[in-house]
Amino acid sequence: MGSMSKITPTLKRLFQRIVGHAFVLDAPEVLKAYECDACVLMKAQPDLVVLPANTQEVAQVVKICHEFEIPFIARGSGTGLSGGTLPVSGGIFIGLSRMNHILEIDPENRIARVETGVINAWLNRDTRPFKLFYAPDPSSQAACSIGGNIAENAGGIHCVKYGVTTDHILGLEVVTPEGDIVSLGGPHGHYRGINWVGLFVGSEGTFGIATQAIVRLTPLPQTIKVFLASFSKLQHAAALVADIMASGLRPSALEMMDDVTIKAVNEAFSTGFPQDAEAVLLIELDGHTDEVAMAEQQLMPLLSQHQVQQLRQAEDEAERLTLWKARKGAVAAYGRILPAFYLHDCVIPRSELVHVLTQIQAIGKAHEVVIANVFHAGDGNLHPNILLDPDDPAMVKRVLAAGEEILKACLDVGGVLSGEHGIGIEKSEFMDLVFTWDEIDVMRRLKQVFDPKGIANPDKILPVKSGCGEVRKGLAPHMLQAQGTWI
Amino acid sequence: MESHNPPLQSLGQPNAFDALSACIHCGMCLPACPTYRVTGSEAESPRGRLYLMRASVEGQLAEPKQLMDHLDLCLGCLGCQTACPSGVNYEALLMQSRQKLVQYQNPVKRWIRRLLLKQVLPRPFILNGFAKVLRLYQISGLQRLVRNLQLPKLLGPLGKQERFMPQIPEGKPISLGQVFGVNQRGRVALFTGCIMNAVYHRVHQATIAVLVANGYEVVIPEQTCCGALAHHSGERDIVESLAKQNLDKLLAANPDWIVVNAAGCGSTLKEYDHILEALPEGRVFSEKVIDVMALLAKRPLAEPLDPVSDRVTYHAACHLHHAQRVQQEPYEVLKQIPGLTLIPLTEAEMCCGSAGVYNLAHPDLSLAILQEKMGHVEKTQADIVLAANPGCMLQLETGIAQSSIAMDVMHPIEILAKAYRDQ
Amino acid sequence: MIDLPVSEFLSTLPPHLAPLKNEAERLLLYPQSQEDIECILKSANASEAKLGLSESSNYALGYRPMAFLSFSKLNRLKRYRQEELLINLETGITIEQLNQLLAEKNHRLPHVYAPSRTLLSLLGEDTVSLSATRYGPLRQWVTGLEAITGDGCPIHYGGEVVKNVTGYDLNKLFIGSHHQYGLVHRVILKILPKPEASRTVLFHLEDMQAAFTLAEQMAKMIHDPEMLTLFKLKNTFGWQILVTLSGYLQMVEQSTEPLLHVARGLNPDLQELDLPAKTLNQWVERLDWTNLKESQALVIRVALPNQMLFDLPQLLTSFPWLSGADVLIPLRTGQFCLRWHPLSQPAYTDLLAFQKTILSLGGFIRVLRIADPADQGYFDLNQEPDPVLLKWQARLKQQYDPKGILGGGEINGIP
Repeated sequence: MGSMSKITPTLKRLFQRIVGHAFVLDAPEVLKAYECDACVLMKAQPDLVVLPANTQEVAQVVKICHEFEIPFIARGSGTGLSGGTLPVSGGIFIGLSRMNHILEIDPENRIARVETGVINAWLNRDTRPFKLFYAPDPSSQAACSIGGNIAENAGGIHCVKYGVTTDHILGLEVVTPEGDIVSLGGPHGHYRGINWVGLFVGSEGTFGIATQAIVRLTPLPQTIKVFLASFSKLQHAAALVADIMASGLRPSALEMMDDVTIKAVNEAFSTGFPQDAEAVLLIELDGHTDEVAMAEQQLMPLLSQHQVQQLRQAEDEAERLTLWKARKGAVAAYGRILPAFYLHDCVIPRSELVHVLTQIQAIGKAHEVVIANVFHAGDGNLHPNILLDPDDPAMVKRVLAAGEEILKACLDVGGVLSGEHGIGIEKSEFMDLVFTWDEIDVMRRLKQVFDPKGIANPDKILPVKSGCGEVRKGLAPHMLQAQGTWI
Repeated sequence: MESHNPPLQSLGQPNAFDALSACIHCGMCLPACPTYRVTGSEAESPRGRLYLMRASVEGQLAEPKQLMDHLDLCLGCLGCQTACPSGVNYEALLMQSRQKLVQYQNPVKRWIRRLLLKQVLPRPFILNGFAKVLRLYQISGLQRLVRNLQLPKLLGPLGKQERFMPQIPEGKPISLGQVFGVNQRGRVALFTGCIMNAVYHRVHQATIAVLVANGYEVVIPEQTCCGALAHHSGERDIVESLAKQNLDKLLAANPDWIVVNAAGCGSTLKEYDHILEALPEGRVFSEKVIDVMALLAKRPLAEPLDPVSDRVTYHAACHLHHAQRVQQEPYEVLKQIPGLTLIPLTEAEMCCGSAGVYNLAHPDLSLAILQEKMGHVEKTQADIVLAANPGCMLQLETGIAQSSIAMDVMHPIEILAKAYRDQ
Repeated sequence: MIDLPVSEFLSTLPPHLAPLKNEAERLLLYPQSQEDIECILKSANASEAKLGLSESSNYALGYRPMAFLSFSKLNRLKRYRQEELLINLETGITIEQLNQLLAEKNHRLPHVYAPSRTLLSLLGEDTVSLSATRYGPLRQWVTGLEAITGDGCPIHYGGEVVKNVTGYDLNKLFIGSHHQYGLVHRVILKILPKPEASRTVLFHLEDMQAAFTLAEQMAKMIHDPEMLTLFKLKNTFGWQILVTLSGYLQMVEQSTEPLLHVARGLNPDLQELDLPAKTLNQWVERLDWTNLKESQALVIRVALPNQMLFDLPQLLTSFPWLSGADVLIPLRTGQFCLRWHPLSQPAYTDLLAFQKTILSLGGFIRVLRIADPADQGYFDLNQEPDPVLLKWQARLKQQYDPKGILGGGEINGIP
């Protein structure tokens, strides 16, 4: 698969005629640079990279792909964590990096229209003067594109209160896998009838390419307060999270970090988190000033019931931003302990946090691996990072075994495979742990509705039924033979 | 020279590129990279370049050119280094790679460049003389004639470069060996640089005036080119020799600080400790180097300050903001000037596309990068755009000349000098 | 007389699914479990017997079902995860039953829906609630569901977790698609604790301009109301504004005072403070215009950019024939509904002219319901959807209900 390029010189010339010579890339080293996204354990090179400037160019490129049955994969900033843009069956990349313009901000109706190559953080930078923001904020928001967020239905720190990407996308302009341009939803959002926008968001580029989006903007809160609570036991923190969420309080963020993370982050960002704590929670309340004050009154008794070691409130905006910067950079800070890590993205019921975190600790001990936890606790969205040295095959083996056990522990309590990173290629072989093959077939039929020829980002999300568990077992170690890290 | 050899690995020192493993491929650097922004290509991004460096170290690239092409396009602005959450030392890796790659360059081109770096830049009289000729070209009307006749277009690529030609003002470069002011707060040696002195000697006059007003004794010792261009081209022997000369000459003046007003020179001078690893004085030297705005930010400005009613915006030169990490100081100093309106510039810390001689080597890309910068600059509707580096100043002047806006380009110290104009 | 496919279909059903006939001579089937629905759908597919839903409609003009499914026995609580603020239910449950269940634990579903509605019908329509501005559409509160596709394949999606991107979002396939591709029989909903305080006030004003002025002032003044709706109904005095504030006691009190103060300035003809739940429910029931009982002759929804909503009085007066319509304006949604009773239906050409104006203002019109299929001309008001969408819609039907036993594939009159 993928070894025989379908790209003939004639096809290349066709693409060049559409987007211009400079924006059709096929130098061997350039293709090499494109062989992985932020999930570097798996690699595959595209046959060609095309960088169109607008929707019409995308449509013309896709039309050719459709005619000649060439797989195509949309790629934004390449910050994905599940190998969602890996060209496993070859084909071309349609890079949206040049389609990065914010077309319109309409403060009156609280919407913005953007090209999907726009970086998440730019949208926030430009809406801030209107006292508005775009709520979904993945940790990679400084780099990830709105198009990538749409593909993965990205979450983020503040999604516990504001909802994930799908709740903030009102309309899309999409190039279908058959090369048509169609608009879904619109400035008034979707209501009634088939929810095309809802179906498209989170389809990981397998239903076509979103080239423009109309997004909902949210008023900036009047007041924001961030508390940092530290605990001597991870379990105390987890129990508090469950209680906060059960109380009906709606914190705008509720994040947990464990001891391994605390140490790495302190070193990288000099945040001064209590070094002896086994866990810290970052709790953010936002909204109307009076509302925040009352939420704080509701929060305090809960804190006192859960053996909080230390409680600190961010003094000012600068300190708050430092805390969030440290949280968002935590994953990169692990590089200081071991050069790579393997990461899961399960979501579990919050009342199971204590139980599952205890199990994860035990799994780490049993397999002699270091597990660092930094995650969206309020959502129950775990991110256990199993640290590893890719050059140590024995360790890699233990890490993979531990990873699978963690996954199963999460599924056992009613969890799901992924909360925000997507299934991509990395988790597709676990799909049959969650769905029956009939259910997977129902999903496959949905894919056929949008992409009868199966050329839009093929091989993603849906597993291939092989009847033998060896597929799963075979894929992962192979992936890990490659050098690199996995975040 | 066998071109099929993996270029970096073949040179031994397998650990020299250990720092590469710090890159976790997260992509946070992409939007901070001007060449990625303009080309949209992963291979022209910091992450792509690091990935190719690694591929090269591991012997996965067929030819040195496959790495060289992409490192050549790097501006060296180091915006990526500020953006990187895992602390990759991109600058060191880039320099190391370039040092190893120079041997594969076209030998004729390289010989010419080395001649320039070694024989021309370090000799101010050549550069200053060239500036005089250039001024003659400009004030005589010849330039207008050339441009009206559309000659630049006929010149092909050279024509594009003609656009970047600096406007040479009247007046004379500062001559070396002078002393100004009285030592109240300290004695500083002013580093004059090549371009700054040839084109923007007015900036030196402003620097001297402001420093003297703030109680510094300013000496201008004998000195030579800082070696930045040679450094960025990977010509290590040339940098070393220039660095050695500067170290001897400037330290001989016995200054408390070595003050620089050209960000590019400043960042290279600060690296003399690495460039001259073997010499213990390298460290002493580097610790004395300070940007003039950083020095002035160390204590409140001397009173009285006259009000300055300009509306200004500040472009953060890469070699100040990213390389030297002098980020807040210029704002802190400017805010002390009464009456001054300081308008925030969106993406102030993005490169303008100047980057030493980058605009001459890659005019198309440089212009595209400049265009993005000018978009933000225009929106500020300021009267003056400030930049603390001669390369940026030249580049911004080109940008303004090409657009319809009327805006002056100045060094921030010139605004300060206005506040001290009566003293 | 029962025709052939129907008898064939009925003959394959197990005895406990034997149909009952209601007063309208409809054949009603009462499935009690997932297996029952599966069995009914499979049998219907085998004999190509078309099915309808008794509590909702699988929308298609001229669609004549042979038998109707009632979900009234599929109304059980499956799991109540109080600590997760999630509830797992069968979809035949009514809002009234659900509210009762939740009230026992001091919880609630914050969406204001008519008590008689079943979750099944609300999910099929993705009905916009009167508190949608604050709480978003119902689909955002669904964390998981179970359904049987039209061709009889049972599926589940999501679960008792609040965030999920595992596989294609099948919730979005079933919610809002008028039961065309499958029947949702289980749903997991997010819920909330009852707020510390909640206060509903109803204002009556005869004068339209005064009503709009008051509503506009309130919209500006109140921070995040749970419900703020302006409406006019036939057989009811003038215009009414229905406001609900909820949240912390102190906040609610703080916001009510200025509200009443402003109202006094405009001198409403009547104001009812602290509307009792029963009265409120009656009003909400009357405002549920997609409900079969309340839909009357014609219901249209008009979308307008937010800033133009308060210019509505001018718009309404410039089309005199509009004065005969009922008006429902849930504020801050950028949309409003108009409804006509059978005897005061507007002329099609008048509506076209109105649509032209709305389009020129950047809005659009959608027909939500028509009581009489003979009036299907009105559906032409729905602008021709993109051919790509029509193609996709046809393919969806082909994939999930190829025999067309769950309606004719039309959604809101669009084939």
